[in-house]
Amino acid sequence: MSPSLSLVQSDERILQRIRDGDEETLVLLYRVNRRAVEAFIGRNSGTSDDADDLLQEALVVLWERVRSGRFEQRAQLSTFLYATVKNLWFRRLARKKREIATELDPEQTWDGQQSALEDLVDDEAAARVQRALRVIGEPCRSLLLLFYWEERSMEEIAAALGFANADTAKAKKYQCKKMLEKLLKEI
Amino acid sequence: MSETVNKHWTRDADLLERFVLHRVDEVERTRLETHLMMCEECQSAVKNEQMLVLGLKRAGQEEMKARLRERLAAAEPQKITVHVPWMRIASVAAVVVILVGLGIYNRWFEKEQLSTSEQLIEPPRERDTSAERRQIEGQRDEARNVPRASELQRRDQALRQSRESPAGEHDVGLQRDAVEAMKLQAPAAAIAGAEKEDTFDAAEGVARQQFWVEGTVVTDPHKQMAAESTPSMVQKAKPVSPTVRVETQSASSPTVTVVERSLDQLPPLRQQRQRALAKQQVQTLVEPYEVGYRFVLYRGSSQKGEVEQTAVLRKISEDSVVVILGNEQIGYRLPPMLSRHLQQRSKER
Repeated sequence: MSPSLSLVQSDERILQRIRDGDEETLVLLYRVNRRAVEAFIGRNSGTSDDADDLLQEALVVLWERVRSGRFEQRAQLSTFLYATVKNLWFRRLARKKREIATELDPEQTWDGQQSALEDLVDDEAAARVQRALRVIGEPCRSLLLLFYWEERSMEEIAAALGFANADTAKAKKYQCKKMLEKLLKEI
Repeated sequence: MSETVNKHWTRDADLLERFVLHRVDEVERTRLETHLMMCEECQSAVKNEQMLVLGLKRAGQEEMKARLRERLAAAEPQKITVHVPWMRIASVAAVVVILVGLGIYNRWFEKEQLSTSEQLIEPPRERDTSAERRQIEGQRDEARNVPRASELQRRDQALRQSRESPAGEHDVGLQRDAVEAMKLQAPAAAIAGAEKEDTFDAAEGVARQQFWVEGTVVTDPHKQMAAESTPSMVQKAKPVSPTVRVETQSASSPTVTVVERSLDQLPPLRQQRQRALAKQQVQTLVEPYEVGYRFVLYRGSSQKGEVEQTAVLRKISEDSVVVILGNEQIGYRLPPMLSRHLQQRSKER
């Protein structure tokens, strides 16, 4: 679908497509918002690659919130994406600033936020989970992501992955989580 | 419940998960957090659960981002190949421009050819038959062989010389002049004469044909002089030649009556055509009737009423006639249909 077509699509239609799991909608939103994001990042000492990365991240945030039912539309989607990019960029800039400032004391916090050391620990833990997920295989991988990342209900997961019912899905999730914890200890 | 808190509530996997995922109400959250502040084991369990959930969320985000990058990369080349068919648009536009240009050039060239041969041709009317249209085409081809200006001058000079020729040959000379002059200007007249009009004669109650022709007028200078001169001048003037005679109607020739009308009464298109023609040419409407022909001459701007005069029609060739009216001789090249009509009449007589 060409970018120009998105202009005639209402935000509600786009949100419905995201709820239906249509990932192509993100491509469309990317094309429409790319220029504005690049201009903003350019004005704030960022590069074209930074703009690409941040817009993709903002789109993932949108996807995550809409799919989990936590998205509240208070403005146009393009406004939401622009604001998210802005927050992500300033947070990234602040993190860089912290990294420079905490060279002497890694445990010093900056404006009440996590210290650089805590950030690194989090990143490391997240990386370990990702490695474990690559090993665990299906359907555990999908089941865990649907439950923890997309925050889908057990009924939805059962329907998506072909389990008999929500209870079966819940029992399977328990098993998968135990497997993941075991893998994390081994990695 | 307080018992559960004292027994390290984080050992309840479901409760721990709901706490980390913020799926407990505010009252329960406060109670659990109260125990958490005093219990290091529980703090550790919550921290591990948070890391697990954070890791899963990050993993989900990274996977999603990777899939989005793949989709964007796959979509980029399509944007170039599918949405920009400039070459096709340009080639179609070029063909259209060439075709339109050729069309305009052909039309211009056609008009240019006609104007150089001093033709003014009206398009054939819808009611013309296809046979008539073919005849018109043939006459148009002839029209393109119009003599040059030098040829016209030469013949005009010959015409003047013939007028100065001995009186005995004067009448014949006049007719020859009229025919010659008519021939020079014949193409336009012939083409114009090809136009036929069908009218309904209420008096006769039958459909009647009419033909537009263009005649070339040649005036007898001697008679002209006699008519225009004062009595004293008449005495001085050369006497009118006895050979210049007023023709009378012969039994073999069809009856011809002539009516003169002013140019104002010409149809607009004919008026336009007349303006483009030489002064000695006259638009004429020929109406065959049972015993002869009626020639309606459109010329001058006199307001005098219509007077019907008798004239003599002399056939010069298959398609040429001269109408003799007083001191004037008017040459006509007839359209094929009128020629055939005249021949048929002659045979009947």
